[in-house]
Amino acid sequence: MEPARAERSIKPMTCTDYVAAFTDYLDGSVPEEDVRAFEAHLETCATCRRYRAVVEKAGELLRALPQPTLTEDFGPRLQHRLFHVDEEPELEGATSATPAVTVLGMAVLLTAMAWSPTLWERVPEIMLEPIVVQYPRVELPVRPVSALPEEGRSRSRPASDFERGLWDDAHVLLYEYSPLSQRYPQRGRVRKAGTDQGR
Amino acid sequence: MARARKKEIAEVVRPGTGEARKHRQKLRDLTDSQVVQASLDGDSRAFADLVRRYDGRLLNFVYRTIGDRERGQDLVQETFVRVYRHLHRFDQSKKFSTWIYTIASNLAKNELRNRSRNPLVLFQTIMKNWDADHRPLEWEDTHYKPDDLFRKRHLRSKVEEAVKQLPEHHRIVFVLREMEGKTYEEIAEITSCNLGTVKSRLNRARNNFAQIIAPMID
Repeated sequence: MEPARAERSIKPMTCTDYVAAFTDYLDGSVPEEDVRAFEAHLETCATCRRYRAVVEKAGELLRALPQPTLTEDFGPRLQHRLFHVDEEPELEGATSATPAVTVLGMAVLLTAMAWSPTLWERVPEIMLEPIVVQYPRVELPVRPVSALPEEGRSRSRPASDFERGLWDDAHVLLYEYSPLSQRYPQRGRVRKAGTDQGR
Repeated sequence: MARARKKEIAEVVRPGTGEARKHRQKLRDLTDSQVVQASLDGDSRAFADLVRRYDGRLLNFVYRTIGDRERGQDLVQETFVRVYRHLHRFDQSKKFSTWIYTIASNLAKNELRNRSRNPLVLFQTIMKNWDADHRPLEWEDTHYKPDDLFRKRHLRSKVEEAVKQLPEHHRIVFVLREMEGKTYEEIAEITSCNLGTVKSRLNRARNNFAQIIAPMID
């Protein structure tokens, strides 16, 4: 009764299932009911039978390969290297942790050296005499209000006596009657230079 | 202590006679953990015994992984140097063989990584890995038989070639399982992968390997 029930419970297996789970099957790590499914599939599938035969044979061939042999100098070379291993911790200490400390120390030292003139040497303070710059007085031609044309003047506010008196001067008269070229000597020169350059 | 270790190193190449031979025989009967403990306790011949236990196996593993015998020997030496240097840090609740294989595996992976920095090698590796990972799992019956006279030699070279053709991450798992007989759990620990990844890679590697050498087996 039990075997019959077990046979009924075997799930049919495809070739893909077989190949996908073949490693577990070959290494004996599948459950008992799955083993029966594998074997049932093998009975019906010639391709999977061949697959199993080839993989098993390939494994045998692989294990039958001659092992590579060590050369004669393997022992002496290893001995030589191991002899120096005991010395390596000191070297390791010199090459692994020490450089960081050394580099940091060097950096601090260099920084201190670079800043030392600023830190320890006092620069003497020199009091210089004040420099007074005097520019020559530039007298710009001033056009008096009275010189403005009638349209430019405000008609609402007539000139007061003070204003009239302010301009009662020889300079005003000179300005009033001077030609335009003399009124604006600088502007004239610039214009002249400009025309020369233009040519 | 340092002097004792120097003497211990000398035993790697100079077997000794008489009492030394007896002592060596006694060490051979011990487990790896016991030999490690003996070495840590100052037994001058214990480390030499560890070297004798693992040198050939490690060379086989590293050579099959990187495909270069001379470089493999250098990496095995480096493995022993690291073991010697860090033996006091070894967690003795774990298997020594797993620890030493992990060191060797990491060195082999570094070697492969350094090689892969060559752009041409990198391209070839990517293409090979792509092919292996995306090839459909199918099986075709082919018939090909080489001359019987050279069959054995040809088969051996073909098998070696097939191992080299596997993608690197498949090859390490494959060699550890098929040639070194490691369990899934040990392989997972050595390669720092989870069990599912180990199974998947092993399945792919077996499939690819068998496909390559199938024509030779008929």
